[in-house]
Amino acid sequence: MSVGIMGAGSASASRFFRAKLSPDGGNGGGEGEVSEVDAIKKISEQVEQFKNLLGDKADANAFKTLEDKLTALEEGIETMKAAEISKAIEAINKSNESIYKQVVELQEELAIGKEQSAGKSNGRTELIATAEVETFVKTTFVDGKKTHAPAKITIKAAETFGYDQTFVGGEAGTDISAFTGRFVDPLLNQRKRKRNLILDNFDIRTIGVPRLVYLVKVEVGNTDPVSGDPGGAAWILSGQAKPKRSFRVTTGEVEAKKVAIFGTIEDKLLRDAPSFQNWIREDFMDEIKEEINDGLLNNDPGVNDLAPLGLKTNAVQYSPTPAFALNVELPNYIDALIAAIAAMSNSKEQPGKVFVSDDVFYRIHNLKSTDGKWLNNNLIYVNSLGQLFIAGVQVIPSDIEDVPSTHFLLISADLGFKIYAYGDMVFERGLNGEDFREDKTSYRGYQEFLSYIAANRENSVMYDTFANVLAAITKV
Amino acid sequence: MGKKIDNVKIVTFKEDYNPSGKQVIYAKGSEHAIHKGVVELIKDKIKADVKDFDEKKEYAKAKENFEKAK
Repeated sequence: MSVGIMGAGSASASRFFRAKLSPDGGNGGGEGEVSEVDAIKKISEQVEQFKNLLGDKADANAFKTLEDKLTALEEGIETMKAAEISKAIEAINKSNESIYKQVVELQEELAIGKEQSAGKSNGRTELIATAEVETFVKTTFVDGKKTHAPAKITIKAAETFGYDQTFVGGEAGTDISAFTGRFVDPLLNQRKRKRNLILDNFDIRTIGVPRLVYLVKVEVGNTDPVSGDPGGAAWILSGQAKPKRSFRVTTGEVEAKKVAIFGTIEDKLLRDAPSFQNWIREDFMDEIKEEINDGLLNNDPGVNDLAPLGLKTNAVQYSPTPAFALNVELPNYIDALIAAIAAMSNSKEQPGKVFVSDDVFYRIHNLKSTDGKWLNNNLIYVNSLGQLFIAGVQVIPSDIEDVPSTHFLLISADLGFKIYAYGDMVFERGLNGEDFREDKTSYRGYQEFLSYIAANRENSVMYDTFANVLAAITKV
Repeated sequence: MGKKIDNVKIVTFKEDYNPSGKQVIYAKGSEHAIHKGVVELIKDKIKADVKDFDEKKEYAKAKENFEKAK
């Protein structure tokens, strides 16, 4: 006689032994079989394991009964009849099965508890609730047979992958850009600066010394001591004394004037933002150029002797000419500019360019005659580059800060106003004061300019208001 | 100092100057720096105070403004 050993079939429980009377009634020794005593011992050990697993929840009476039965079988197996052993084994199996069931239930409870607690911590929900499944099974199957009672299970849909669900934030929140990445546009957006009337339209020569002397021919002499007439060529008879001629030469002198800028930056910022040096360079250059434009266009050294002479400072105003004197009916911008061009031509200067504000520039484009036609004839035209010409003089749009809408600036082709740069523009970095000690770097930019206009070339620049020209030409 | 200063007159208008009847060129109360040639041309047609450009005064004013703006 032997007691067979059978697997429990539960994945989670410890191996479950079932006592079984050997069919041959022998002492065992067949494959997979052990002696009854060993089997009883193993079952005892298993019972002990179950007891430990159940802990406080163990049914003490059930265990006591089973242990007693096992002890009785162990002690009496040598003397017991086969029928008695079989009965005892059956009773032990029943008790053991009951305890095993308790173990399985306990494990299931633990699993559910674990799932529920996990659901609370991360916000996840089950797709199918256990209670719903149990109700469904109970309703659908009664006593092993399928019923027709209505029953349903609601399956919750899986959540959508959205920003709120997918990137779960901790206490500090989630940096979504860590997953999605980001692109930094390297362009530094900044205000649009005005055009540079001087640097864009005038030739500037570079010289290597800071002082400039210019020569001026003065047409005076002692031919006529009273008037200082320098004399000149004349038609004469053969043999007649030739007319005298003389003139004098004087000099004018100008010194270089420096425009400069300076700034200090922390090294840490330079290291963390490598583009900063380029931004500083660009900004400093722009600032210097704006100041160059302002000084060389507007400055009067009588007011600010640190800056060079400005183009407008010695410019002449419009003065009437016989052909344009209170005789133009309903004059407009075009009439005013043509009158100004005529006035400059009368003073022996060849008009080259006229600067007007942007709005005046475009207003000229849409001026119409009294019958509604655009004023577009041979005197006023736009070339293939979009350049506007009036009476052969190019009209150039300018920023309102340089040439207000009320004004125009007319210059001759051979401009008497001269500009020189002393050396190139400088932009460099270095250590200043406590820079080395305080981990800083300083930047400086500068350039020097000289400008002048000889008194006898002042007519080459005309700066005046449209109102003054209109007052002089409007037919009364 | 250039020719501009020598030739400038400061004109303060007492009435609108509207020679064509369709376009006010100088408004009443406004002050304008006008070339002496133009002033000569229209002096009979305007009601205005005409003064020479006071170079000293204007430079002093300009310098003061420049210093303030520094």
